[in-house]
Parts: sequence; structure tokens; C-alpha cells
Amino acid sequence: MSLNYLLKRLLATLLTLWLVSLVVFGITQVLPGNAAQMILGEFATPEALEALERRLGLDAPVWLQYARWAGGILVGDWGTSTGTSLPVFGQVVENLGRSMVLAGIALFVVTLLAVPLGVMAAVRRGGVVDASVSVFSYLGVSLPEFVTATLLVVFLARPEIGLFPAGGYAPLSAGLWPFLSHLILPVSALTLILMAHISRQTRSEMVDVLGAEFVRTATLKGLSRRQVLVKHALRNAMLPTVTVIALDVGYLIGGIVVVEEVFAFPGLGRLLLFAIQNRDLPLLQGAAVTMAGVYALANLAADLAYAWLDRRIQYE
Amino acid sequence: MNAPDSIEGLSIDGLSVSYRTARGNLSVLRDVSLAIAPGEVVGLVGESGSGKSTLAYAIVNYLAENARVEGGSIRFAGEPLLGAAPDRLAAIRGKLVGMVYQDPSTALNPALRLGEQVAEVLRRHEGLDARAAAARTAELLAMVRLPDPRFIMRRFPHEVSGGEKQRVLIAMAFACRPRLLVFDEPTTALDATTAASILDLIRALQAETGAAVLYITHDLGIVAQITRRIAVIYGGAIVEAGETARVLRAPRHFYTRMLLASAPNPFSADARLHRRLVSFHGLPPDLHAPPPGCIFAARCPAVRDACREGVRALDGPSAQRSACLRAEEAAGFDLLAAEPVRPAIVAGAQAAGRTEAPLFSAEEVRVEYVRHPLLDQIMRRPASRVSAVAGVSFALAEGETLGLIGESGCGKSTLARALVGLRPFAGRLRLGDLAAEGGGAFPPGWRRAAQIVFQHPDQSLNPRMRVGEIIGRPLRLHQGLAGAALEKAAAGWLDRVRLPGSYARRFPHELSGGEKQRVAIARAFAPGPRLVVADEVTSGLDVSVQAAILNLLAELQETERTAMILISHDLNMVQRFADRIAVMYLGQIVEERRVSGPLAPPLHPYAEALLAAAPVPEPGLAARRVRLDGALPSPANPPPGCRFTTRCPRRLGDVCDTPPPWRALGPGHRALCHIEPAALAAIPPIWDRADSGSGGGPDKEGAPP
Repeated sequence: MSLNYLLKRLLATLLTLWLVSLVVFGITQVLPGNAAQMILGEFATPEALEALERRLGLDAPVWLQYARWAGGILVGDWGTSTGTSLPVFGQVVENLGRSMVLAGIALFVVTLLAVPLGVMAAVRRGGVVDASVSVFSYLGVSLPEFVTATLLVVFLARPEIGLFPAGGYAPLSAGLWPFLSHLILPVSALTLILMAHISRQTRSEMVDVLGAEFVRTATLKGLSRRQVLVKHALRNAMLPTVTVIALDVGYLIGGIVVVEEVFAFPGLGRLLLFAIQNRDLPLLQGAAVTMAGVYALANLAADLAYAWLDRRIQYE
Repeated sequence: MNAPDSIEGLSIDGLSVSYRTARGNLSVLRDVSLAIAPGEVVGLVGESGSGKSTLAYAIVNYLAENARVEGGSIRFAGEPLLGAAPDRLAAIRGKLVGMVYQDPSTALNPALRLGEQVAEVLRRHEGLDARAAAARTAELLAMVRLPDPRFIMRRFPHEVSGGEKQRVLIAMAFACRPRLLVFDEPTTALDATTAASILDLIRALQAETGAAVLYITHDLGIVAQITRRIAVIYGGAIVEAGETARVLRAPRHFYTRMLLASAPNPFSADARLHRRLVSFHGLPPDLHAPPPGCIFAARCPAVRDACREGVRALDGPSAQRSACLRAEEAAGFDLLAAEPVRPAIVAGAQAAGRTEAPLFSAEEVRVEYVRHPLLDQIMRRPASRVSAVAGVSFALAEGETLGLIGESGCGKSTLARALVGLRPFAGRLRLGDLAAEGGGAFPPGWRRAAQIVFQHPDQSLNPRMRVGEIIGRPLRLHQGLAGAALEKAAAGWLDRVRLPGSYARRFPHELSGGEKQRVAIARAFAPGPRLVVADEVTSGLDVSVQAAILNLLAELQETERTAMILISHDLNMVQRFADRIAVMYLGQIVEERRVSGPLAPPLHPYAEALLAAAPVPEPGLAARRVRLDGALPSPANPPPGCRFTTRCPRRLGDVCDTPPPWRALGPGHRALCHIEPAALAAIPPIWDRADSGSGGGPDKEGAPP
């Protein structure tokens, strides 16, 4: 991977983040009402509002407000939540951590299941595995998250069954089982959703690679079927799959609002929802910027991983 | 081929294979028998769709999923290979039977280091541990003449050249000392000079190991060089088999005869064939329902009713067996009697002493590819400049054809694109009364006057436009035609390129490769250009299709009086179709000359190497060995003096590190070289009659004056 490529990708990511900050800040500007109004409520006197606006710096020109806000984001001063009166930064970091635990485990499980299934489907095209992976994964993508998640709660977390808690979160310090039992249902829901992505991707790449001439070369060298599949075919088929997996990290951390809400999982998505419901502007800004940041970094990681794995990519 | 029914070698008996397709059974091989004794090199010659690859891969039981073996057997050293158990098969592949493939760039795994790709074969079949396998790999890579094997072992495929990749694949094929090797067009994807060295290597390794070899190719020139016996396959059946020299000299099947006649052979003495090749009519047989009788009957110029009946099998003495009913007549048959060949227009531009002002001229044309990466811009480092065309000048008269010859990377295609206005360039171009300065805009009318036909019609024809629109668009744009007049003109062009009028409503994907190229040619000639650039227009086509395309180009050019630049890597073809030849190397023209008959000294040393590397389908003609060492230098950093000096077998010394002068070698003949004209003239002839033993090349005997 050339230094040029790295530099280009890095600059593109920074540009994306900057644009995101503009959009997030812009949205909070055009929303009716401002932070001062949120804090003081509907019946505040104009004088009190004006005083608080001055104290919060809301009377300054927009560009100055943006500069102060963006500067704060950079140094870790993300403001104070108007809903909880706690520093936004701490809350975001805490919830991000939990989301990352959920995402990490889900990703691990998905990869572990989807890649071998995709390979099997490709090797025996039109076979039983291929058909069931197809049906199963299409089911996964076509059912909305809230349906999948709700079904899981209804069938596996009903009080009369009581296999798993229906929601919430327990830290690892509370013991291994409580920690895991709170994760099993949300992880299952996410796995169902992402399964399709990764198994279909693996399958189609694998089908392409199995038709490639270097796989013929490997076979006609007399290598075992397993060596041909794993060492020669899968290694090449995984290149684009790695990108998809890295992009799914972005989805898992930022986009799982619905799953977190159904399982009352205190992650970043739920925090964002809370901020919206409470019109908590500083918290909303912080959570939104973080999500966008995670997406952008996941994209960057995907590009870099691909360039590192496929050494032919040098430029562009 | 009833070669010794040896228990040792390979014997294929009565093999029939079919593919199940949506349209029914496709009968790709029918009752094919072939034997190869140990130490013997047998060539299998055929065009695409002939079944030659199916035959090759059937030997190692590697057939498509929809393939079915209908009958017959393949045995090696007495052991049946068809239907061998998977374990046994894996033990045979790579160990007993080695294979080398057509395209080395796709045959190697892009994600594994080259050393590992060789070493794994050794670990698998020879039971070597990692260390021993690595050591043996280094030996093997040295054996295939790769300098610095340890360095190559650590490289990935994309980091080495095509020729080096093919050497690695050959090392892989020979790794376990196999007793049978199958070469599937191993030099087709390579440049001529590289291909020549690879053929040398294959020959040497075969002689050293005594392995039996099946060499598959479409190139009669190559089989003439490396095989002792050949089998010619057409439509899934072997139509002729025997000793190579006999088959090439006096073919006993009309397909072989026509294949030989349609290949551009500079030594062909028939003056009626000036700028024309014998071409095949009709299409290959539909193997969904193979016709009874002779498989070639539908396209045969000598067909009789009896040819269409019964089953034609190989017949005759083992030295040369044929499936033709009129085998005796094939060699002497006058193919041209059946060919609508008009009297050659030899006069024209080729006539010596022509003085009129040229129609087209290029002066000091330069094309650079500039790359300025972000990091370098920030560091204020200069942009990297690759000069793909480094000062090229030439002129062309009306109706004249310039053959532009060179290997990949020489800049010929870049030059072509610059000439028709597809790439910015520096220098001056003139075409009729139009003039274009480098850096400036092309004058209006240039794009009409200068047209190009590209190599791949699949990519150059818009897949969403009907053929009628493709041809009609330049007519509308440049001649203002519309409505019925436009349709009529487009239909007229279809007719001129010998396509039925109904094709106007077809899409490109409904046409064969040769038909697509005809459409591309019609599109180029339709606006009435004065210059047509034909960039490797027949490279992707079979020999039999190529002949018809070249005939068509020559015919259109002669009637339209168009100047033509015929870009090709095929020296044989250019010698037959061009009035003049320009040889390009690393962005420069190094030799320019008129053509009349086979090229002979004086020659630029690079042209000498190119000529020696071009296989000629003429039995008994042996080329003097001239091989180039080293790799093509990067055009980003060319040698400061003579650009060819790093690989020149005739390098004089330090003087070659200074820019060479143009040497006049005769009328209209010059070379860019430090060597004195007298010394260049003293270069011995390239071709020699190997059998007659006498000196004096055919350039003194059979060539037209």
C-alpha cells in the first residue's frame, strides 16, 4: 500500500468528518427553539432567555458558535446534556463502549457463521445449503429489524419461558452469565440481519473465484480439495468480503437504533433516540457526530484493509 | 494416429465428449484418437470451438460440470485416466501430468507469493518439508532461466512480467518431473520475442526430461518449429494427422490446406495473393447437430455429394492420415479458382519513385503520461513523466498502408490514439489540408477524416445500440444524412462489409467476433475518412476469420483510396499487407522501410530479433536464433542514448549510450542505429532452408520481385 494512497484516504475521511460536523451543527440551528429555550422551558420570560442565551454564547454570530462548538468537540468538551445535566462526552463514550461490545460480538458470530455458509453454498451451487442460505438470508434482510427483534422477545424472553431477560444490560463485572444473557437476544437479532450481507457476499465472490483460472491451476497441481478451496479460493474471495464486514461495523454501531430500543439496550443508538425525544441538543449533536465518525472510520478501515490485502491496489 | 500402441505413453481412443446445454447436446469431441509416445512432442492444431481444449483437459479429468464423456478411453502408461478415483486423480495431476496454460497472468494466484505456488506442488507430491521445497523451488526457477530465483520467490505475480510468470508456471509444470506435459497455447498471450525464448525453454526442458508433450496451438508456425507430429482438429473431429513436415508441405485435407493458405505467410509465392489471403466461407458447423459425412463439407471448396454421407474417419499410412475423401487433391487444388480474387492492385502507392506530396504526415509526435500524486505535490516533488511516444515522424501517401510493428509497451497504441485525436500530444500532424498542433484543438473535420478501428469490437461497439445505429451515427454526424437516406446508406455499408441487411436491427452481442469487427470497420469507413488506423484489429480472431477481415480492409482501402496505418504485433501479417513498415521500440521508430516480399537485411538489430522470433508456417525453414536478454526498460526512465542498447545483441560499446543517427540503408529504408550501414547490410539472412542445407535465404529464391 503506498503512502500516497494512505494519505488520500485519510484526507478524504477528514473532509467527510468536517462536512458531517457542518450538517449536524446546521440541523440544530434550523430546528425551532434553541438550547436556552430547552433549558428554561415554554414559559420563560424573554429577559431570562436573553440572559441565558448570552451566557451560553447563543447571541454570537453563527460561524463563531460553530467554531466554539467544533473546537469543543476536538478537545473533548462536548457540552452538558440539557436532559441529564451530565457532560455529553462521558455519556457518549459510555454508551459507545456498550454498543461496541454488542457490535463486536455480533460481528464475530456473523462472520463465524456466514463465511463458511457462503463457501458451502458456492461450492455446492444449487444444493441444500445454497437454497437454505438463500431463503434464510433473504428472510433476514426482508424482515425489518423491529419485527425480528420483537419476535425474538416474544418467543424467547416471555416471562413464562424466561430464558433470557427481555432487555437491559449488565456489565461483565456483574458476572459472566448476566452479561451474556443480556446480549444473546440483541446479538441474535443483529446476526439474522447481517447474515444475508456477508453470506451472500462470500457466496458470490467465491463463485467468481472458483471459476478463475488460478483455481484450475491449483486443482491441476493435484492439491486436495480443501487446499484448493481454503488456500487458493477463499483467500481471494475474502478480499471484497472484508470490505463488507468493515462497513457493517459502521452499521452495527450507528444504525442499530431500533434493535437497541426494542431490547432497551443502553447503547449509542438508544442515547440518540433519548436525545431526540428530549430535544437535548448538545447530546444529539455529540451522539450524531460520534455515529458519523464511526461510519467514516469504518469506511477508512475497509479501504485500508482491502488495499493491504490486495497488493495490486496501489493507486486510486 | 496409430503411433506405437505403447503401454508407456498417452493413448486416447475413440473419445467422445458432449456438453449438455439449453439447446440440447453439444457434441464437442467425436471419436477422437491420439497417441503420444514417451519423449514425443505432438501438436494439436485447431481454432476456437474445435474442441482442442476439451481434449486437453479431458486428459486430466478436468471437464466442465455439464460435460459428459460419451465413450472412449484415455490411458497413460496403461492406466485408465477417465473416471479415476478422486485420490488417484489428485496424485496424477501435477505429478504424472503437468500443464502450462495460455494466460500466465490469470493462471497464477494473485494473493500468493510465486515461491509458495511452486513449493506447494513439491510438498504435496514429493513429500518435501518446507525447507527442502524452498531449496528445490530455487533450483527449478534457475532451471527455467530466471535470474535471482530467491528474489522471484518472494514476489507476487503482479510484480513480475508476463514472460517471467510463464517461466514460473513452466517450473511448476516440470517440478515433479512429469512424464506427460500438456501445453495449452503457452505463448499466445506473450510478445513475440518473449514467446520465442519460452519456446526455446520448452524445447530444451522437453529434450532434457524426455517427457511426452501435447502442444496445443492455433499457430501453424509454432508447430512447424517444435513438433514432429501434429493432429489437426476441426469441429470436434481430427481431420488430419501425421508428420508435421509432411502435413504442412502437402496437406491431405482441405481444412488443413485452407488453414495454411489463410495464415499470412510472407514466403507464399502466389502473386495473385498480393494483399489477399484465402478466406473461409460460411460458419463452423453447429455441433448441436453435427452434419453427417465430412465435418468440413459445408465450407469446403472441393465438396462433393459423397462428402456429405456416412462417417469420415482417418485413413492412410501412419505418416499422414486424413479424413478427406479427396485427400490426394488437397495439396494441389487451386483455392483461388473458387476465391473471388480480383487482379492485385500492385501499382498505387507502392510503386517506387513516387514523389507526390504525402497525404498524411506526423512530425516529432510525443505523448506523455503524467502522474503527480498528492504526496509529491505536497512535498513539491516534480511529477513523474512517462514518455510513451518519444518523437515519432512519418508520412503516408493516399492509398498507402504503413505497417506499424512493435511489442507491448512500445507505444504503438498510444500513438494511434493521438493520431485520431483521442490523446493530447506534442508535435505536428497534417492530413490533407487539415493541420493539428500538439496542445491545440483539432481542426473541425479531423475526426471525420481520421478514423480508427480498435482491437476489441466487444468493447468498442456500444452494446445498447443496434448495428444500424452504430453505422448510421457517423453518417448522420458527418454527412448530415437522415431518415430513409440514412438507412439506405447504412444498409449499403453493411453490404460492403458483407453482412446481411437484416443485421441493422441486431445488437452487437448477437454477432460473432468477426462480424462485430466488420461492423467496426464499416463504422470507421462510413464517414469517408482519408486515414484509417487499424489497431490490432485481428488479434482476438481465429486465423480463418482474420483472413477475411484483412481482405476486407485491403479491399475497402483500395477502393476508397484511404491511407491506412496497420498496427500489429504480427510481422508475417504486416509483411503481406503493408506497403511500408515502421518498427517501434520504446516510444521510437527504429526502422522504416518499404516491403516487397519477406524482409531481409539490412535490418535494425531490434527488427532482426523480431523477425527471428516470428514463427513462419513454412516447413523446412529454420530461423537463425536471435534472442533478446533482459526486460524492456521502463519508459519512465529510458536509456539515455540508443533506447535499444540495454538489450541489443549487436551493441558496439560506449557510443551506444549516445543518441543514434538515422542511417540510410536504401531507397525509403532507414534505421536509427550507430552501426554502419555496410555492417547492417552484412547481417546474415534470418531464414534458411534447413533441409536443403544450402545458404541463401528464400529472400533470394521465392519472393516476388
